[in-house]
Amino acid sequence: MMDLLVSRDYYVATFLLLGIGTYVMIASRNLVKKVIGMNIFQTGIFLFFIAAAYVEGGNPPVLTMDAPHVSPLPHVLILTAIVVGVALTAVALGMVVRIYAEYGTLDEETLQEVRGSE
Amino acid sequence: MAVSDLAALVVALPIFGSLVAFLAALVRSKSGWPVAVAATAAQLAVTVTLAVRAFGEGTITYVVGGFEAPYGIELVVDGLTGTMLVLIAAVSLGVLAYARRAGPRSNPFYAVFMLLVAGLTGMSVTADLFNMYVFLEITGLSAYALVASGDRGRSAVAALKYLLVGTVGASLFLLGVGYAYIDTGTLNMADLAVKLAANGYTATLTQTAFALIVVGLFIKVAVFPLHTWQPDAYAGAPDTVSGLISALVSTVAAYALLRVVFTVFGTAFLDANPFAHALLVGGAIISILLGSLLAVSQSEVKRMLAYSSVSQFGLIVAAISIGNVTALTGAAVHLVGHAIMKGGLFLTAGLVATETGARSVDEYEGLVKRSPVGAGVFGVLAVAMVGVPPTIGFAGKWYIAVGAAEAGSWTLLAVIVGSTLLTLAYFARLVERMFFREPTADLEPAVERADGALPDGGDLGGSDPGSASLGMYAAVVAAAVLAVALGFAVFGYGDVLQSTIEALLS
Amino acid sequence: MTDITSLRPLAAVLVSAVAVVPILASYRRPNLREGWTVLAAVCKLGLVASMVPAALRGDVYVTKLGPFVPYIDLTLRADALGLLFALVASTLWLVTSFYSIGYMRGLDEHSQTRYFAAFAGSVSSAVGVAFASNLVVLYLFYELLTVATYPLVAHDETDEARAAGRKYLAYTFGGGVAVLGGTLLVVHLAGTTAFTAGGIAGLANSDPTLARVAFALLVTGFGVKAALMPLHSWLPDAMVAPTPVSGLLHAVAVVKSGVFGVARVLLDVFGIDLVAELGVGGVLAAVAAFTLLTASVIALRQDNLKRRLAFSTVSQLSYIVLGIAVGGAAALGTGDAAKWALIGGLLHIPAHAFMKLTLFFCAGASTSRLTPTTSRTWPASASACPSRWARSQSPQPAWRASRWSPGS
Repeated sequence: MMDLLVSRDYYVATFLLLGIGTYVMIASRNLVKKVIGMNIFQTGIFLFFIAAAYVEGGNPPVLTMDAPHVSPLPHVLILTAIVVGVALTAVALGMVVRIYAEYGTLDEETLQEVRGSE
Repeated sequence: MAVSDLAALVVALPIFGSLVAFLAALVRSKSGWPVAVAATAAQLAVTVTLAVRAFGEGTITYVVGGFEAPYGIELVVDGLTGTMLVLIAAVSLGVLAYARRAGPRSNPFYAVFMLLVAGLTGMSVTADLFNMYVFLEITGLSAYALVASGDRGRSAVAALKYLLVGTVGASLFLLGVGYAYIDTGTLNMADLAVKLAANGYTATLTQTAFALIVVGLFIKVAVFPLHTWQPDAYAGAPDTVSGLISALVSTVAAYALLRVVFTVFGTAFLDANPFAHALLVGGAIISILLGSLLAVSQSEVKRMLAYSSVSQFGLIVAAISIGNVTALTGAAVHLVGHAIMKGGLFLTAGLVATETGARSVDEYEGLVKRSPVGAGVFGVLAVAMVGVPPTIGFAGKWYIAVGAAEAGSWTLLAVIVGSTLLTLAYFARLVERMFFREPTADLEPAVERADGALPDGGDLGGSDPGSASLGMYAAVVAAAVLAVALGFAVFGYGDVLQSTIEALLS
Repeated sequence: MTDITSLRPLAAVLVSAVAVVPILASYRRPNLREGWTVLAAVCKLGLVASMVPAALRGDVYVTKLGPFVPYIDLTLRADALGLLFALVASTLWLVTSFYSIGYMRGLDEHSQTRYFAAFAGSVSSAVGVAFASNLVVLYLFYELLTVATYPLVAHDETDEARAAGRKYLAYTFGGGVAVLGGTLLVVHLAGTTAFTAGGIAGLANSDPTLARVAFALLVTGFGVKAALMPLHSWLPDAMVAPTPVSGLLHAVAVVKSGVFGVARVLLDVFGIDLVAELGVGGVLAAVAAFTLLTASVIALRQDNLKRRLAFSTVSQLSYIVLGIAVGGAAALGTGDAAKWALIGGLLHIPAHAFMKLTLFFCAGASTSRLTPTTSRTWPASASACPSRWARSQSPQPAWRASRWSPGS
């Protein structure tokens, strides 16, 4: 067990992040915190890709450096995914702002009460 | 220009259209609509050309930026892709005809609209898993924004919920792609298929990748119990938008599911892993049954239609789980048929609301007297949805059911055939109210508006809320005519699609 | 027997469906609207009748419209059995059209346009059922018939009518689902559903258990519209519809389409030899005999005249089914007996149609003159309009003829 934790520490961290993110999204009543939970969840996935690309003793993937190189492709992919994540966060926060302007609350349950009486 | 270049053009064109629609606002406000129409019409022309070539001469491939596959991104157009491309362009054009009067009318709306078209088109043509993720997110982002374009708080709440759940779905998909990548070191679908087969189908990494990708796409398709975002999103969105996303977004996600299951993993994988097969069958049966039951208990028409989608996509997942030529042809037919019928139904619901203010099942009483066209089209589309021959609703169901019989899956066959009655249960309720009851109370669209219950066009002004435009009528009537007429074209279509499906299954 | 490729069967089916458009369009001018109905009815009868000589010679008019779905061609065939049914339906439609005009105007009914349009659509579907060349095309028109008759059942727009309409949809679409399931099994077993005299060859060599399931599904499905017990209960309820509807559709077109479906399944899908071999003919005959007796007993206790006639219909339809089923059960080695039972059963299709339609017309005439339709008022109405009463009694000889055909 300890072995696993030490030798696969990045993957353990990945699933911790995924777990925390999911928990925050479900358990938190505050809409902004839900968005934060979503970000933590995505960060877990980013870490997963980057960890997978790592090679023991590897150098940055630049031609002038000696082999072995770490795999460059996942880095590129995750760069794209981060951009997507930023865009998502922006849209989500935009909606949160509109919800607050409309209902005057960010609390999920209060929101339900307010909307129930619509 | 070579034909294969068109495969890149279909993605570039709507993105370009989106930019122009956005920038046109600098010159003149409310100029988004003509730009979007021009771009979509061009898109339709290009996609039809592509589809005709793909059916006539076989698969078209395009390599992005000259990097040969499997290192670069590849775009592939086969018969199935061609179908989706034409469907996306045609439905978008129909929705645009409707949107002229129904709104929203701001330029950013049309910019996002075209971005959605680009995302959907990209998901259809790409042959690269990570590229598919990117397009999945572009589709998602623009869909969230479109849902939120309604002027009520309800739209924003629905959109946020859609965004949170949708992002989890896309992220699970990405995680699955990560597993597949670690397993094989490639992202090209065809290349993945070869390497996954070499690794053996019972490798844990492969199984995990399959489970994550399928569950991620289940969320996007809205398979029960991962459908929770969908009724809120469809009901909370402006009518134009619910018509568009109900017709296309889940449809293309289901297409992606089909593509990934068969192009990447293949039938041999399903045969080797009973759990994978059980995941698909279970999702299908639960969706068909519970989606229909939930639809029966809804009081709002748009929510009812949304739950109906859950049930109908269960049929398509059932076809994927059967996985023979007949069933997959049925899946393609039903994807097209469902898009036309459901998109048409949502637009009709919008038309009815514009004319009479009716939005709940009870308010539909005596509708035929107040909105004869709306009631008539709704009736025809409901009958088609139930699957009465010779409509396209019947054709899709027939193919899938014959496929189930060929495969000997009797449980699925019983559920598929029996789903007719479940569909009838929720549509009959509405049809009876529309045609065989006197209206109980007079609803005036203007009154509804004061309550804030009419979502579309609110802040735009200039339009008479009680009147529907010719474009709105044309869009819904076209949907009804197509739903019946295409039923006769299905055999010819199935014939030309056969080689594509056989290639997919081999 | 030769096939004559011709558009006539298609035209005969479509003429009343096409008439729906002008009927709806001329909703402001009742006389013109009814003119369309009558014109369509005359054309339809003419088209159907024009195919009779060929049928008597043994030739068959066929319209081929190409493939529809895999294994299935969209083909219409006006063979002798189909023509029998089509001729009954189209003759009686013409008669009923005139009756409808008087009845609907006499009672000043609402939504007359919808009524005449749906009626035309129903007759189209009924003739389509008659000319269907395989199970899928039969299913197609069978479902369209349900859709087209639903507005007629719910016509009154009262709670009772709507409840009857719901029940009607639930029963007949439920039957439709069974037919679809059975059809799929037949496709699976035989690779085709095209009607073949003497049965589809592929079925005889298939798994007998699955073949029995297919038979049970198909007969149950068609049995709903044929009002076999215990699937009959929609029919008495559907009597809330205007009388011409009860007369033509719920004594002739709709219920006979169910019986006709059963006949097709026994004769042209499974074939009577296979039915006897599978041992399912006897079961069907038993169900039919049970229905025949029970429905008659129930009919004795009905006070509402139309309900009484409805139970009589349930009972009489079972004569037809019984005849066909006995034909199937007795086929092996009994020679003429089976043939006579079949002829008797099929002869009862037109015989019962004429009798029951006349009875309903009388009931309707008494409704429009003397409001209540309970049988307790009948002696009075018999004296009030003696000619109608007499007519309602007169078709007895036909009734006897078909029921007592030798050998049944």
